[in-house]
Amino acid sequence: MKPVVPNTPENPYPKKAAVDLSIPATADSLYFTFKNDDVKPIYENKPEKGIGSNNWAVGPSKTNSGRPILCNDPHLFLTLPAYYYEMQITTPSLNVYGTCFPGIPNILFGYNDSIAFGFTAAGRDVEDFYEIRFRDSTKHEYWFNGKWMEATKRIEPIEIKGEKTLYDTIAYTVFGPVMYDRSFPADNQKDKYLAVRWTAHDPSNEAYMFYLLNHGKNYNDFAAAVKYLNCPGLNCVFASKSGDIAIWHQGEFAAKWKGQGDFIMPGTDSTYMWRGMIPQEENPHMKNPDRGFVSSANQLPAGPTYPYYMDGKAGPLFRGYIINRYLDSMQDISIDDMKKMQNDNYSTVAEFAKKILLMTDENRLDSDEKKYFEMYRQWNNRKDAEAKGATVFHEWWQALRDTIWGDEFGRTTVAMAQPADHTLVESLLKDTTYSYIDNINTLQKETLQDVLVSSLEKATSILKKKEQEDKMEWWKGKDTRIGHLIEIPAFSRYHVQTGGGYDVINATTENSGPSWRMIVQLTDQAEAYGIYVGGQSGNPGSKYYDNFIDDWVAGRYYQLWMMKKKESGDKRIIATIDFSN
Amino acid sequence: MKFITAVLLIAILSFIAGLFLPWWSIAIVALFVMVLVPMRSGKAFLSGFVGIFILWALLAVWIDSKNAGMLSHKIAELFNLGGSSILLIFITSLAGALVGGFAALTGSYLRR
Repeated sequence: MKPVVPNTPENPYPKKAAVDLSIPATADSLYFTFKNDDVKPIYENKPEKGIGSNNWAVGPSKTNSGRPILCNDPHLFLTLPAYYYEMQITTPSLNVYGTCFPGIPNILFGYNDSIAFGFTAAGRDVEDFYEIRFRDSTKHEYWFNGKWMEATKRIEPIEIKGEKTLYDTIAYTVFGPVMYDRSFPADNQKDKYLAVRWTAHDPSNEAYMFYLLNHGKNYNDFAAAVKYLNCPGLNCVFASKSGDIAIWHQGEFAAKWKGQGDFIMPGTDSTYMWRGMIPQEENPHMKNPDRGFVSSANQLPAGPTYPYYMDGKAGPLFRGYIINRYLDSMQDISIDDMKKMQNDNYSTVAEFAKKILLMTDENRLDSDEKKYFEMYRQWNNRKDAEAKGATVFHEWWQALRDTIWGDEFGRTTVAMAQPADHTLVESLLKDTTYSYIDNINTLQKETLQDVLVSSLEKATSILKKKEQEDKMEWWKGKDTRIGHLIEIPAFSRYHVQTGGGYDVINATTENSGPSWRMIVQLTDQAEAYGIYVGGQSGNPGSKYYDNFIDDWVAGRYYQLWMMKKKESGDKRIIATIDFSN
Repeated sequence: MKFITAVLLIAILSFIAGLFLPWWSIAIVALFVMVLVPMRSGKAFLSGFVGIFILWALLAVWIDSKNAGMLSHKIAELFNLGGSSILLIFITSLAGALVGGFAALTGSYLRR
């Protein structure tokens, strides 16, 4: 499992942290005291989901054109009208093409005459909470470093339609604003005052990064541009016509000691404050690596030798794994290979899980269970739209997860999410007598064989119902929807016939997915392809409202037309706007 | 003959009025036409009803054809009409026709 940026001789990690990262002496008694938290048990009975994105760039050594190819597919919620607007901006000093979000005067995912750029979310934790001790409920003074300090107050008028304006008084501390108090408490933290330290509150100029990228000509321009990106952190991927590829895991990230900010921190002195920021040049990055490609898919940004604590929650790991596996083995890469890869439905979770699930003793199955077991055995691990095996796997795996984790996690007194897929896969492959297999609510000791059979039994009852409802095909069960912003059914597209899933490159889930797919080959005349979910019009009565959707579902692309001045009479042009008067 | 004249007058004048005034100008037109053309109340209602029904149906069909029926289909879904553009146009026309009919009826009562 490779991080976004592995430690390599040509792109080494910093030797040691620029900030002292020793854990405070009081941490055991004041901070890592989960048992004192009065939180209710939360058992997250859900498979690992979440929105992610993919991007990668392959270098000249790996392509059949001898030039880099950059690919990016950010996964957002699928909406109508679409978030995206496709656009070319041409001025005397600029020529850039790609998509933007309406209102942003720059191209966000795209390419110009020299370079191409794309993004995925960094997934870092840039928001920490501190428990403040106020002298009284007026919030005038709070205890800090052995004395009462005065809090600054700010009154926020919140105008409400048809009602009186609500005035909310916010207290500001040295940590930041008090986000949760007794009027607006955090869940399960009713009596606490929680101040937030969030990098989004720091001044920054991200729009300038996009401006510089739009004008960028080479790697140095790219590296200079990303310095303006503070929050949110992003994995910025880059390729240029001159043959360079690069990735920067960029943002303003606090230099944290292990565990800092994972929980609410004591706010009565400066011990637990952020001690400094990771110097920008020490953010994980990589230029022209020997392996010939850079990639990111929300996995961990750096390996264990990176000197700073990698906080936050990495997304599902398996997309990053399969992308790197493909790119490692591919040679002579063409644009068509990249199209195929962006639409790939191969699940490595399923591949690894198969080694476990096929251990099931068939003699212990009844005829229905046997039927589904056989359906699963013949499945090729691809979450294609029509695959019934994918549905069997989904239900069986879900039942197995619940059987293995449910008994223990049902008993916890603290909020804990179900462990991720890779934890279960790894644990069971390593040790078939893994202690969590046993159901702690029964007297006898369950074996792996027992839970495999009982979880398939559970899944079978669900699958039989699905079969009666004609929902065995993967796309029918997944039921992808492209919802209108205020969920007017007539303006939405429901029951979209797509494959994919959260753990495959084509990360199309029930309501999110690769909403913009882009491939740019940086030959002298850049050859670029792209498609997004929706259309260029926000008017539900327009044929341009949703005209890209069917092609997107089919995995097709449109060649992106970077228009030249002499093409202004081209017959593909359907309208012009004259701004001169 | 008088009935057809009244229907046509209401339809044509309402169309012209609609170019400059809000939709409810149809009521004013139907009322005034009935003040000018004396008719019994039943016939008056019918001429206002038919005049506006024809006008709005034609207008809706014309606007809908320019959009290839796309928007009307979606709006018909929104109104639980099974996505039928024709039904939506019928209901649109009916709404206008009722306004036209009652305005015309009012006009005929004013004559008395």
